[in-house]
Amino acid sequence: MTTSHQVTQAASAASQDSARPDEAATVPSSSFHDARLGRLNDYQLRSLAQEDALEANVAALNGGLMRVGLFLEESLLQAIEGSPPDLQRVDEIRPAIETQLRLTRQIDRFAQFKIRAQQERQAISSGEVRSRSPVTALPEAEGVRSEDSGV
Amino acid sequence: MMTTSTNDPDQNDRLERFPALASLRLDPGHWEALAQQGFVAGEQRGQRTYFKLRFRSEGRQVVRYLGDADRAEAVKAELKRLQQKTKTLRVLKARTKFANQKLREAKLALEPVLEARGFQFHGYAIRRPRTRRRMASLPVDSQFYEEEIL
Repeated sequence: MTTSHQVTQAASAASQDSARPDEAATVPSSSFHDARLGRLNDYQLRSLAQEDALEANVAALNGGLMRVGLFLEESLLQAIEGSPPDLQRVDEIRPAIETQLRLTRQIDRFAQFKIRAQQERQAISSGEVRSRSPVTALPEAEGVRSEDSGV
Repeated sequence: MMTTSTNDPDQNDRLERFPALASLRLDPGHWEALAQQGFVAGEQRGQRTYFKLRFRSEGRQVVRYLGDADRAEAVKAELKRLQQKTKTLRVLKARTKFANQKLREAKLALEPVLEARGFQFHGYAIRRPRTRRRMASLPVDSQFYEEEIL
């Protein structure tokens, strides 16, 4: 199966690459920055230790995006604080703000997906069928019966 | 070199904030160019090292003699401050590009997994296409929509 392998590779790449987004980066080495990076490491390690491969990889991938978001956020704050706000400055940093928002939204989506996948798996393992849960779209061949499948 | 106060507010501001650079006979175009690029280079002559400020302005290389290491350090420090905004924006641009690339990669990596679970990406949103049976069970108004957002 290549899918989980692909996800693992991407998660690993995202988590490694994001630690050094570019050579010219000047990351403030504050204790706050280190603390956040430390917590992101904890999150990714805990994610990878999860029992379910899909949930583990989605969470690890999300951890990588969170790291990217951290570095982007720091650069953005530096740019905002670096000079007085004027229209030219807003134009210069707008693409970064939009990307930061997209990142945040995507992290939320993946987190929601992971939570729902987890809830569904728990419901299935306890024999309970949840109605209209998004992950009940599991193939009927797997023996999952849901309201959506007409039951 | 002597530097004197003028009626130009920009120039007075520069004299105050960047005294070492202001002593180098720089015109307004030079200041703009230096904010983007330019560096201090050392040249060995016998036992001594002489320093020069080098940058390009309007397609031509401009060189200003600095002399000893002390003055070179002062110019270097002011140059760093002058170029800070450009450098910050350059880093921000690189990180924005990197973040967009990672978003695309994350989507590509998860796409097959989501499809196997009956989901699909619609842009970057995760959606589940409605099946015919599910459509039939929904109120008529809701049947208008083909997909629902996760």
